[in-house]
Amino acid sequence: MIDLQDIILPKSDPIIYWIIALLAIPFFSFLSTQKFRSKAPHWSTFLLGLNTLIAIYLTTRYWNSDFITVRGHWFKLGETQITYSFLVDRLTLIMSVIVNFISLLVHLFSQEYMRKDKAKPRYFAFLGLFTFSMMGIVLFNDLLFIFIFWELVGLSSYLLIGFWFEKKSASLAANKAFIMNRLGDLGFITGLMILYTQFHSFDLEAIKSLMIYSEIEGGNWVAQFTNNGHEIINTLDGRWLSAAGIALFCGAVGKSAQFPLQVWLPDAMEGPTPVSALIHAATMVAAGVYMLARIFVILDAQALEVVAIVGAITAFMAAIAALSQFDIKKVLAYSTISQLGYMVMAMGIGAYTSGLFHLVTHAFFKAGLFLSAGIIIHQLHKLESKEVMFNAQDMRVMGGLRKHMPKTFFCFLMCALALAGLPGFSGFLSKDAILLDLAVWADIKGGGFYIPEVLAFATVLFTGFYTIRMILLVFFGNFRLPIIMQKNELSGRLKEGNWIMLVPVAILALLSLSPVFGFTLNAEHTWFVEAMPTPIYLVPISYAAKSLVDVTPETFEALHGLVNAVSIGLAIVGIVIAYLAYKPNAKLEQEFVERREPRGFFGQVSFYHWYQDAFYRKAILKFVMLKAQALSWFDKKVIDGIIDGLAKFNVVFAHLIKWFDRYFVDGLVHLTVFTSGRIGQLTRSIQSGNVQAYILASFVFLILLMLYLVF
Amino acid sequence: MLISQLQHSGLKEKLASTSQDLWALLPEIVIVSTIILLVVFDLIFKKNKSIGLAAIAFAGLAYCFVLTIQQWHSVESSKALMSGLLNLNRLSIFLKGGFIIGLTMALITAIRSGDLQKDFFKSSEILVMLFGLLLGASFMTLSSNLLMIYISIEVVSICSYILTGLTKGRKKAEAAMKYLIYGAVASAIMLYGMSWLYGFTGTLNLTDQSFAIAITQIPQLPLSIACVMVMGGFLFKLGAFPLHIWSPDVYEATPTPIVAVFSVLPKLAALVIIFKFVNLINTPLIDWELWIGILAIASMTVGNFSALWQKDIKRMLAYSSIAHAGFLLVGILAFSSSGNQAMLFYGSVYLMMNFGAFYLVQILERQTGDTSFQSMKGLGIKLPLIASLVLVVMIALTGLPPTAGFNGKLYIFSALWESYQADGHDILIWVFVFGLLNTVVALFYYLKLPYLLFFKTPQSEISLDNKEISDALVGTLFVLPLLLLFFRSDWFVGLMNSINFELWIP
Repeated sequence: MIDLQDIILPKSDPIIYWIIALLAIPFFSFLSTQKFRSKAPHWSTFLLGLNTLIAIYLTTRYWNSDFITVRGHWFKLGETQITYSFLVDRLTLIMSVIVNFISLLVHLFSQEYMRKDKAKPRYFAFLGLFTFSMMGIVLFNDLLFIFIFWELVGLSSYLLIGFWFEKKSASLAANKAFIMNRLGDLGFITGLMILYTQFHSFDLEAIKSLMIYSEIEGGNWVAQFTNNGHEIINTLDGRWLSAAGIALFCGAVGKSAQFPLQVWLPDAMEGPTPVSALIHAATMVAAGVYMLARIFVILDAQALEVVAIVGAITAFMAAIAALSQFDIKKVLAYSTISQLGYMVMAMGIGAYTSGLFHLVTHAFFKAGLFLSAGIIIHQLHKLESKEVMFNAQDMRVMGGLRKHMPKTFFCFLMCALALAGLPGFSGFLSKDAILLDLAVWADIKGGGFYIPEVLAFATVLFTGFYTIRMILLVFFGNFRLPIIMQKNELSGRLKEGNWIMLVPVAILALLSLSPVFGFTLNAEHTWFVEAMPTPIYLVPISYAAKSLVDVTPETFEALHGLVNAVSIGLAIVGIVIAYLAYKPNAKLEQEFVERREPRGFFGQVSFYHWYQDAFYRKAILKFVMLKAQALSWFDKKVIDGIIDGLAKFNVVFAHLIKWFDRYFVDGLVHLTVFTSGRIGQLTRSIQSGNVQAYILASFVFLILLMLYLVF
Repeated sequence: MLISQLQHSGLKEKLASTSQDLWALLPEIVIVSTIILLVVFDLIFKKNKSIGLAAIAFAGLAYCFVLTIQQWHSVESSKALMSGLLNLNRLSIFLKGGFIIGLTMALITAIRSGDLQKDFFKSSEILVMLFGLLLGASFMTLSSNLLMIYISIEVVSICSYILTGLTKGRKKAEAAMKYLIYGAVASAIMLYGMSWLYGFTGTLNLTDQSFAIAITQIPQLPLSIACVMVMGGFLFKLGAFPLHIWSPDVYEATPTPIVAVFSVLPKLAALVIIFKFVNLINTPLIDWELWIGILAIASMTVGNFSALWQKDIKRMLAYSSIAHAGFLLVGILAFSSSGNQAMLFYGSVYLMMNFGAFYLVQILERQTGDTSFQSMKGLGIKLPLIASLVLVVMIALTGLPPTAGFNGKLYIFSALWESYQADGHDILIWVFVFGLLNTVVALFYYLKLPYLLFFKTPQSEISLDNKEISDALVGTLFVLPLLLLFFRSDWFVGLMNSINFELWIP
């Protein structure tokens, strides 16, 4: 029988120093940046650059070697050994490069973007904290530690969303993000508890190893192992196995903004735009997907179905919502949610590799989009003055920017086409891989499981639509701000962003091209997919989902052409419709500028994101507030009443005691003092200062004593 | 007795055994050598002698302490030395160690006493007398022969008289003269009582078999008269009722570090002698429990109640030491091994408490110039550390937790209670009741000093020297054992358990 202690034996490897460096450098940046004041941006950018170099070095060195585990014992509670462990495999390596690299670009970009902000050191310190926390999630292979860093990531996200906390909306958005994430984390903790109950360890390797040996017997989930030689048999109802997976997935729902907790992400756009690029588009929100990848093999069929369906719903809902937004960052936010939905759905259908591939490509092109939007917003802000007040994120004041900032336009376009999923761009490869896997999965499952497929393909169409709509509204037509403000001179003052902002964007735009991942239009032939094969499920066989690994390549081959054609076709249809509707001087474009909000049922549903926020406010928030009021009433009237009564009784009682004290106790003390004093005066009266009298007194006493004793 | 023994065995063998016994007296020999060295050093050098004298004194004490520790490990049970003149056992070694520590603390107090320091180390007189006192006190703990007891008591007494009058001042001279007259009378009476005992028994050796047999043959009245007279001398050294009257005057006049020595060394040595005397005169004709009980009650009561009215801290502490003499007698009263241990524990704690108290008084005296309660008002705000230490010591002297003073009282009264359970003598329960009541009375005057320090405003501006930190550091060293022993009194109790209180030599 397998012994838990043997699995979690301490292991060491020289790589631990690199791991410590990867964690310590951003943390050091967090601690030290505040000290550097005006030099803070340079300092923290330098540190992040160093960290990126380490990550790249590690990737080149360990890419082809086997995975490495480092483990140590933290502390022991009774029989339970709590460990910490790190895992370095290809996923870890590629994630650490992405996190550090994008973080570096954002640091660089922020040098210009935050130049005027007085709280710069704080901003860069928080970026350091975020990078540190994110690296913790990536490197640790222990659910407890992943959870700890998960929370730290939540904290740094909260701090950065509310960075401009003087703005009421920013602090509210930070609160909303934090609370929504807590709801998800509640699930995460539940999952941890279930797994700990069954396996007595948080170590993922231990959980996976013991999962292999656990069995389903008569509907019960039985884990059998020894711990320090003691035999342990844990039996739970089989449904707890699914529950564990779904509970852990709840954490991902919160962090990766999935239905029904996704409402925080659009509001999170209150933070500085580079932060949105780093945290709320490229890395943190992908942490949920990364976590799903880490626990992928211990998810059973039911949990995976839940994951897939939630992902599909999210992707579709967010794509609809993105269709009619005015705020450029809101469009990008909804598109992020939608793309995250794709990744989560990919995990759910068992398309591990495709999901992670999309995570990587999305990280680059979405960060590029956000940073380009950042340039636009930043340059527009420069036009602001006392007479000219406008919302720099609103697409209604943009238009025709292509002429003013052509380089930004070009980068934005490349990233946007990757988002739309056109051939030649990275998004096409990864999205196509997901859709192909989805088609195969739906064919295997059949029945109602075609619905996710339909939703996913519809999302392709909408994605094409809102991407092109955004480009048309921002870059084509006339610059609308001078027209609205009736100040023509504004038009001449709008300039291209400087190189500090353009370089990161250009790099990200280049990385959005498909040749980065291989000169092919078939995702299977990219180096990424070849490097990261889908693992097999480790859950007991009767609960395991049918793995896509077991499907013959012929099945994929058969569907490949069709899926490709349909997805490209849908994307182009979306693009064409968008062009017709929003080309300069088209009907919708005209209406769009004049309205406060879209008209019609469909427009309203889209603009208000399916009324989800309103629903939460009306149904849940109201109920919570009512409960809070009731509790407050109870507290004020009942509990405070009891305490007040008690206090009154105490005061009355104290008066009684005081009376007693004054007359009886004090009286006794005064009596004692008086008596003592009298006796003392008597006993010291011998002390006359005359030595003869002393001697006489002494011996009189001595003789008296003897007489008393003898007779 | 010596002569008769010499007739039995050859003189040569006798001398051989005597010179062998000299090795057991090494600590005392070191004390004597230190005295000689001090005198010689004083004679050779003319100026700036203080550092050299202090070095010799401390080196002598340290060496003596090391030898005492060695002796502790080599001696298991009682051992007769010098043909029965002396009786070496762990009890006496333990006390000798305590005395050495005490004298060291007194010298440190003297060093930190400001102006007084010059008097102490300017020339060798005071140091020689202090070492003489130490020598006498060590021999008191060793003696088991009436003559030896007398001589050692006289050594201590004469040193004390000189120490009282050595520093300048009319008051001191007067106190020394009173002390001398009073002490001479007490010694004379004690010596007279001893001669009676010699006459009855024909031997001076208390541990001798013939003494034990002869003592039972004497009628009650003469025996009682003899014992009362001898006890008179012992009580004079112990400073217990009714021969306590000298102490307040002497304490008030004498420099504080010397008072600290007076209040501990002779007292504990006399306690051991009383302990031996009472246990060795073992006859039903004398009801020692009643005798000691009455003395203890009277000492406690007189000491505590008189202390209430004192206006001077040193006088107050003098009365407090009279009261503590009463408490120490309670340990003898129990007549049991737990009583003996409790007595020794109380004695050791008393040593630490008193040296701590006098040290702190010395520090306060240095700041204000005198030791009246009036001048202490409001000093606690200016010297918070010293004042806090004063509070701890005073709580210890009262006998309250969390200090070792509490453990001392607890052990001594539980031993007493055990004895009462065992033999049901009425006097024991009276001692018990009086002891507890006296502890309450003690609270009034011990806490007076901290009260004045903290809660009163100073009458006039006092200029302080800025040495509080170093004063407090030394003070903490003195006071810390009191707190430590409250929590870990088992360290000390373990040490006591290894002491054999048996006085008969097998």
